[in-house]
Amino acid sequence: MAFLQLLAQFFCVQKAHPLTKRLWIFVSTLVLLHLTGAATRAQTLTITFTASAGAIAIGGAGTSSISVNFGNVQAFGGSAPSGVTKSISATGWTLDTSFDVLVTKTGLSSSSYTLKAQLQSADFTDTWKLAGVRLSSASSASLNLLGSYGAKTPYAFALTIPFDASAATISNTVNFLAVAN
Amino acid sequence: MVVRARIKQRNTLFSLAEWSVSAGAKLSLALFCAASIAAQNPATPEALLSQPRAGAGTAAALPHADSRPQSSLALSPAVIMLNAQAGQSTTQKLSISNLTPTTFEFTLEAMDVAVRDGKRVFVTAGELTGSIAGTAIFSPATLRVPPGASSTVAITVTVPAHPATRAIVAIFHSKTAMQGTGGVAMSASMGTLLTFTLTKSFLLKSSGVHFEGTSEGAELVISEGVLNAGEEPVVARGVVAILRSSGSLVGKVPLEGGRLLPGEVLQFKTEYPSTLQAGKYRALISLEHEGGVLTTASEFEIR
Repeated sequence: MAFLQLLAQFFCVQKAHPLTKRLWIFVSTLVLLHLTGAATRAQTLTITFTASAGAIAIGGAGTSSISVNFGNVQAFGGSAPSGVTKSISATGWTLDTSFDVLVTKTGLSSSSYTLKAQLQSADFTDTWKLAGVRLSSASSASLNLLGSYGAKTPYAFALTIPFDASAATISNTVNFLAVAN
Repeated sequence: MVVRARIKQRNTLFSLAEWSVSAGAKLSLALFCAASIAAQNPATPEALLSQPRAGAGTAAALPHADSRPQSSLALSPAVIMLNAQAGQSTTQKLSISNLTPTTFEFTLEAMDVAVRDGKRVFVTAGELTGSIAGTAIFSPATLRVPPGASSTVAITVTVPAHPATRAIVAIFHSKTAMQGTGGVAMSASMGTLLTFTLTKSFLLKSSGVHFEGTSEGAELVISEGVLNAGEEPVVARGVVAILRSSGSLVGKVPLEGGRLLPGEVLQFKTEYPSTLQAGKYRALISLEHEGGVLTTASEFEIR
């Protein structure tokens, strides 16, 4: 509608003073740039990770890429880092902790979001779980189909190492995927 | 001189705007205006597909603006709603901003968004007959976005004759390498949802209204299950009116909008902000969507 109004004004200034015409052209251009720019800026989705209360400390908290260092941990003896629970089962041992995921929206008509996760590299030895859902590198697993925008949501993280695995450095990246519903 | 222009900007169609131009400067301005709009919105006649609701921005989203992180990846737009016809192609631009201190590397991938058992699932491109995602071409197909930078990707898709779904997701898959050695990293990937409306077949069906907190003094929660029984995606939003048994209005509370793909089921839920006295009431739920208004009435009692 703004464009139609501008057209109407366009006819009105046909007989105006040249300076008035130039001023009108300048103002119209600014208005149009503003309107069209606003349309493309309007929608934004963001995702960040933060530490959960009482859970392990994370590097890069509050950004979209974090690191979690468990240090040197062993099945029997030693101690787990602060905020990490170690448990033993018949076939292996598990490290449990959690962290928060925050997804926000701006100018977006969407009531919820989908959150999925996937391992970046294949791990055929250990078991990786988020919110009780097993992760793989083959496909993304659904963590939350109706996530709430603006709410830090804690996700339980569990890494299970079988007893028959030899001592080694375990490293991998969990890729989260956020999509507006 | 007569200039004919056909310009689509957001929800407005300026069909064959025709006017006389007597001065070169005015002609330049007119052409600039058209070019300016066309440049910002690919949904010009040349783009074949129209984008009537591309912005879809509402004031309802503004409260979240303050909570927006300052060190995040930001994807824009996050949702694109397109009107389409079989055989047509469109090119859309997607931008990702890296406001973090880490360089991000992405590969682009499109997946079909199907609905199974009322819920959305992402399906690998080409797996379904009539896959829209299978036609997607990204330019560029990979991205490297340093801290503080933004990059834009163009995605071109062609709607097949019989599309399997009405939505795809264009995913920025993070391939960011972990810093240092050992340990676990978490990295963010993001996707833009693109929906396609091909016909006027819009139909929502209610699967019933539920009430929680119906004891006096408790928080009353009203929810309605809604099924998209039509063939096209819809965005529904509405209002719940609480009436006394006599028919007089007690109050109204808005329902947050929700997008439903064909076959998808969604619970629309709201809390009534004040307490109701004991008695019999009627809830009138009106959900406005592209195909009209779905109205459901249900009685309940506060004890």
